[in-house]
Amino acid sequence: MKILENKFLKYGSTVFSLLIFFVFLVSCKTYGQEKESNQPAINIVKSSKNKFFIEKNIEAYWVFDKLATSSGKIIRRRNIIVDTLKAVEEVSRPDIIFKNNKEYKILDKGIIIEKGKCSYDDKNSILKFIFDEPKYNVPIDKVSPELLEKLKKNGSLIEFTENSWEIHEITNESLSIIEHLPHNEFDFKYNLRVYRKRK
Amino acid sequence: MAEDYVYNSPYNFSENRPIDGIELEGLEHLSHTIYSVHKDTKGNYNATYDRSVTQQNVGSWSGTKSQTTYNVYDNSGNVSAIYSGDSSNGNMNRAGISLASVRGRDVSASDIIDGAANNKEFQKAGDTLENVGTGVGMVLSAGSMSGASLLAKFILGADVVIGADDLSAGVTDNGKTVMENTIGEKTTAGIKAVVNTVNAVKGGVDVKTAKGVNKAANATGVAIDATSAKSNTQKAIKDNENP
Repeated sequence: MKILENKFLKYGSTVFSLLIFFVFLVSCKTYGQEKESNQPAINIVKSSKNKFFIEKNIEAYWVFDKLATSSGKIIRRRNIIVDTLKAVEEVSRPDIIFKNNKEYKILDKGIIIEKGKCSYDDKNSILKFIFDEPKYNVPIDKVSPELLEKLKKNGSLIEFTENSWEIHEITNESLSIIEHLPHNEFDFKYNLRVYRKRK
Repeated sequence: MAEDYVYNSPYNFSENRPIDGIELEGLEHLSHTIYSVHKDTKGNYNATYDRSVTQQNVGSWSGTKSQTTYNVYDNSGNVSAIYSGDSSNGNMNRAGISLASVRGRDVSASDIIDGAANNKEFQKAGDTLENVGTGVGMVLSAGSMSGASLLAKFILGADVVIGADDLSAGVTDNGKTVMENTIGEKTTAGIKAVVNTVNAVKGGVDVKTAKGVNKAANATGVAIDATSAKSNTQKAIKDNENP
């Protein structure tokens, strides 16, 4: 009886130690696990064409053709409901010209709304833009000085000096750009902005 | 010496969190899609795409966040409200809304609703609830299409007295109030009926007023909470006639 008791004490403590160790391991693993960033998912959707191909084919006047969902469904009209705001968007996007001297111009109904320099970053697979003039998230000339001051104070006014586009697909005829829908750093929701080359 | 420079440490690169404060190596992207929102002559809001801009190496996350900004213009062509956030349904913030000014301080719809709901001094506006009504028409004019129903709900729920005349403040070029232009005459009349009923019930019922309110409630038909306005008024009349 005493032998049995000793054996139980011996193996019981070993089992208990193993159990504690197992719980510790599981805790460590759970703590170390993080939600996966959306970057791999984005990279899959990006074009795999190289810098030479892209820079050679992108020099053109690109006319906005359509906005499509990630599954290819064309979006012509969109209802927007945000908080108390209800609005309708008749889908349209500006055209863009890429010149052979790396200059680009974005045109809305024929009027230049943005211009600067552009190049393809092969490492990050993005089309990089450097603006000639800074742009803002809010039209600063249409905001009262008081509101502008308020926006500056609470960090809501953002100045943009550069931009980047992710190319989904580029051919000799068409250019397809990833247009992100609202999402966090884990999810990835997007539409595709499709341009046709003007002949 | 270490005591004098406690903010310096070998782990500053990770904000003193060497285990989980990892270097993200330029993977923190923030994408903005910006729209302009204008109101047409029929009172509908139309959104127009302005631009998409992606910022590199911002924030403290790994991956790409994407948010949308809606700059809402008023009739004079100035931005009156800015909605921004990473979700089309939630997590949207109204930044720097300058809808109305009460005694030199900006007032937003949520300020008023909060103030009314809490039934306390209207702290943000530096004014009392009784005077908030002056700003109501302007609040509704700044994109709060469903603000009217919220407002009516909170006016009814709160111990607050707002005159119906205050709700009609701000007559526009076409002779209608800002509120009527924004949410429609019927709805405006409905809100007025509700407010009048609340005032009537609170202030001791004047039969003539109560009957008038009852008539208004009947006339509005589809107005917000007109049913409760009607039943409240009928109860008020009954109570007044049979004290």
